[in-house]
Amino acid sequence: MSQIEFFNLTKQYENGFYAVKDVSFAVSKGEFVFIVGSSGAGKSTLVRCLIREEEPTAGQILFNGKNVIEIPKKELPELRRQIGVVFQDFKVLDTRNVADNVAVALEVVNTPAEVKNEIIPNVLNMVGLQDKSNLFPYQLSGGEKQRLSIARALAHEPDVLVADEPTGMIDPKATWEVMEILEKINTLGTTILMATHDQSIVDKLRKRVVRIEKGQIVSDVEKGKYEE
Amino acid sequence: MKNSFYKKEKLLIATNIISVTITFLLLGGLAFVIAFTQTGIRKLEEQAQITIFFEDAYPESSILNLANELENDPQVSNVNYVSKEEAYSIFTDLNKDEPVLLESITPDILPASLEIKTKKLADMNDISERLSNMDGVEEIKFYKDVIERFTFWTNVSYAVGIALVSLFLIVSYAIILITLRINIGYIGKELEILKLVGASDAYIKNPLVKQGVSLGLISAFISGALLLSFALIVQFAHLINTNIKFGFIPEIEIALPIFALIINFVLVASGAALGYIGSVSAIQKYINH
Repeated sequence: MSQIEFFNLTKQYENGFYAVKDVSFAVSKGEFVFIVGSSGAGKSTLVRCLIREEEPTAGQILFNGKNVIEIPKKELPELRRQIGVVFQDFKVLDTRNVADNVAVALEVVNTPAEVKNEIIPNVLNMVGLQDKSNLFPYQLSGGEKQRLSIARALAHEPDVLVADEPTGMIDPKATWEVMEILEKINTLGTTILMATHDQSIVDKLRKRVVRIEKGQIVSDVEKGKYEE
Repeated sequence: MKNSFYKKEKLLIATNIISVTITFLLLGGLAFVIAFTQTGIRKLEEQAQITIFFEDAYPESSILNLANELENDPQVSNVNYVSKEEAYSIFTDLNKDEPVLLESITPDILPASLEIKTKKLADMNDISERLSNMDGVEEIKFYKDVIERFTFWTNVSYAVGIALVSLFLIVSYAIILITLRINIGYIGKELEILKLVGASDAYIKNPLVKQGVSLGLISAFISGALLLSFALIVQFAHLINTNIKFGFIPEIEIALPIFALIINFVLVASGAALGYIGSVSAIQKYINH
């Protein structure tokens, strides 16, 4: 059974432009899927629709059998705790140190202090930031900020981790550090859905590649390459 | 929730509290001005009267019957019968130093009269017109022009007062709304991240609502305390030796400090309500977006 299923997903803006049109594909539990395509192809729209940051115009998204589009607004926080999200611009809190940035994700569900004290070192260890828990974001490199963002996304132990161009703002060395972490998370059973236009990553890792152009799927290849 | 997440500029907070406090002070001050005006109006209303003079031939029993009828009239607050003898007695008392004048006046020359006080100044005209066509009435006296002008300006003061109170309430609401919008803009990124990591709307909304209500309450308390101090100073320095009265609620009469306490309560309730409504509308737009 698929964990995520997009059925004829369409997002049309008021000016008539289709960000995505009739997109259908499924992702199984534990899969690692690259969504590739040029800028403006519709990759980010798919990600935003999955976490209901955007409302699609038509179609369905099933997540663990439940139609995401029909989830009442008050239940969206629960959905967003099951789907961890990592963005290109990190979205870390500049006024909080590393440990507190991860703590934010736990505080919103009133996690008891003893549980927080257990989870935070674990996720920081997973992304290799265990020695930097007291540093503030301005003291971190771009790659470290992205690893912090991943650590925060992992705090709720999500079923799926969605990464929207996570390597877009970091150097090649940091890119591979982030990819290693994402692969490690994937081997532990978390489904990874990653939007990217970084050809070197896609070609090296040889995972499933779904290509979108002008809002429509043009190819879907197991162990694919960027240009296939 | 950690308050540190909603760190705000101390200067911004102080400025906002001062702005809303000044608005509430103006609001409360306006209520005092209206109350003092009303007290003045009530004083005048209590003193103003219609005097009906009767023809000599009109029987005293008919005058007393009319006095009884008027006492039961809902517009009338007091009726006093002055007989010819009493009128002469008053006249002689008033002119006791002028014997020549007194010699020319006999007890039967002065007319009997009814002195009528109304609950509202505006009713004097109505009663005067009603009684002017009655048999036996020789003359009706009251300061019609003065009463009409006073009634007109009283109505104007009500209208202006209501308009100003509404205006100040809108200004207070706007200040609270703008303050919170600025703050939401300031912490917009934090709010966005909170939503992304699965915070509920209530988790995001509650601190801002608390902030709005606190802003309203603190400002209301400060302005209320200042107004109460003013009232106590006025009371104990005997600057005004009367209770507060209202033309539109004739039965009510309250001491100035009690009036200040009521205004205090109204300001605090308004502050909390404005803070709540302002903050909910400010954050709801963001949450819906």
